[in-house]
Amino acid sequence: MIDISPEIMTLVLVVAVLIGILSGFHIALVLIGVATIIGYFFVGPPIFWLMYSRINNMIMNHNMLAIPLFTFMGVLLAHSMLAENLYGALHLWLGRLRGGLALSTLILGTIIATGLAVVQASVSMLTTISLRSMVERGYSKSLACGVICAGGTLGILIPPSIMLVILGMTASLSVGKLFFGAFVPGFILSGLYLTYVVVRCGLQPQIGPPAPVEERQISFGKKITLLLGWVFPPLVIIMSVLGTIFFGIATVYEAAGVGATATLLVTVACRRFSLKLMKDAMRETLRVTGFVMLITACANAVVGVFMYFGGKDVLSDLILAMPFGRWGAFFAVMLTAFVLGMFIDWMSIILIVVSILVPIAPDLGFDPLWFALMLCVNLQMSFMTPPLAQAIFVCQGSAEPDLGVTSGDIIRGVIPFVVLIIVALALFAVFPGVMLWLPSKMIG
Amino acid sequence: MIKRILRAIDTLNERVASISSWLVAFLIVVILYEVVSRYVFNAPTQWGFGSLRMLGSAIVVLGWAYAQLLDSHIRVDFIYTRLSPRKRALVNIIGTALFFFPLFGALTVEAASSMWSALIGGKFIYVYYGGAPPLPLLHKTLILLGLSLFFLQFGARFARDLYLLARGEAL
Repeated sequence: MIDISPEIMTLVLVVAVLIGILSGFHIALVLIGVATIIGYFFVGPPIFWLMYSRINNMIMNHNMLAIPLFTFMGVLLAHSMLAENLYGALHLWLGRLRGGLALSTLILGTIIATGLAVVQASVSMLTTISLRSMVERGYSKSLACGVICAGGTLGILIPPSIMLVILGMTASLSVGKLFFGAFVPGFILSGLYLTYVVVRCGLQPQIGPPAPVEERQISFGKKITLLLGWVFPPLVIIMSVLGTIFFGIATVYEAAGVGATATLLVTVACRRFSLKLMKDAMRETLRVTGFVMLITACANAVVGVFMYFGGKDVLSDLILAMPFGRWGAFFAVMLTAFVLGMFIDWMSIILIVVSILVPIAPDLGFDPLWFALMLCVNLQMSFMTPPLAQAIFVCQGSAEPDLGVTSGDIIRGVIPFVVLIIVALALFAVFPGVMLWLPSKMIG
Repeated sequence: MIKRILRAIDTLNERVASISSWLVAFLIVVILYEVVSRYVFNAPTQWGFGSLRMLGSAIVVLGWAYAQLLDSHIRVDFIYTRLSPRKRALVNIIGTALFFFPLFGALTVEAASSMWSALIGGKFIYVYYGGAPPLPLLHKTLILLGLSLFFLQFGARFARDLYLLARGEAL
């Protein structure tokens, strides 16, 4: 219809989207609105029908079913007191160590925040459960807030993870492979965080004192019972969900459905079930599915328009033109994602930037799976880097005012964890096998 | 008067959400049924896969409306939160008029005509989905319901923002 070079179109699209997004209007609608207007110049009125079918493709995607199911599972785990009890049980075991509560918080984030799609949910859960107990026992506020932000963010990465479901859908990668690609790196990050806390509290005992003796004088048998009673059920549920996917027994959404049922049964068995909990969890699921899928469907439409006028070639030419070969290009991409992460929400970055960049990875000689996962680990930092640092906002917002936590405390607390993520990224860049080994062993 | 209509829209959305959230439970039940018949009785249903996807998309679209009621759709808000209420209203008015109304109006019409043709064409069964129960009509009705509520909720927000911009006070 009209003859404009792809370079100019790319520029127009990017600028229009940026202005729209920065104005603060809903990102999803800015994306699809800009795509529709630009698309209208190419194809005329049928653009509406094209948008209808692209949205339809996304919301009828079978992987999408995993989003409500994992959300439901996560909300049940977080709101059914299971999380509080798990924290209590971990505390009994780790309390005698320096920094034991911080370690418990990190482990809680690793295990239980997995089904929560939104960092708001996991960080606010950890803040409610663990901040007070840490501050009251004399932990430094910045350490306490740091582990809450880092632990809550980690839950977003460690499978079963909604971040990876979205990534799989938009970048046409296998969700199962992404899950297992993120599995080892997730635990390595967790391990780095734990090590950091142990070392730091070892050097500076005053920032993370061990719990008082009277709090942990419980018989060994009782401790074992508590551990088996509270730590194992969620762990078993999550491991069985992952196991069925790994061995090719069930598809992702089937495993998610079974996981949701198992979580429901556990809440009933632990006498935490109530009609109110069920209704709240279903409503929360409806809400989260709604906003996650609006932006996912809309971003898919804008990526479609972008590909249509040849934007992919423009972008890949730009990236291939970076100095210092493919590692120069890789570094440029990672830096861009890091900077965007300071300003823009991670979901939008995944949906737009990652789904456009992943198809370029083979041109650079990188494995698309590894490339996508590196960006996911990178985006862990986006939750903790101001000015838009959701983990920090949520932590401050959910902290009870009498604890006197300032944003300065939180920012000082998260810096070491951001550094640890960079260390981990360097590690995974040198040893890509860490990410690629497990997916290669998957069956089916 | 306008105030009452706007409040009625909120209440309607709230009510529909509390009913439609049960679709999540229904989704889990259907998946379980499907999993048990496939892995335990080795007799997978032909309609399961298609029905699940229809159910999932209905949850999504109804979720859009509910998330809009709670203003949960994601914004990049580090500038937005620093604006005055009137400027925020202006952002929403321009955004809604430019990006939302034309496209989602067209989508709602498309969904309505698709439902209408399913209704008069007696298309109660998708052949493609292996003879699923009369879900197609129900599915299309739910999609239309979700889109209409989503549109209505944006309309209500639009009216409130216009009022705020013109009078400088919330309606």
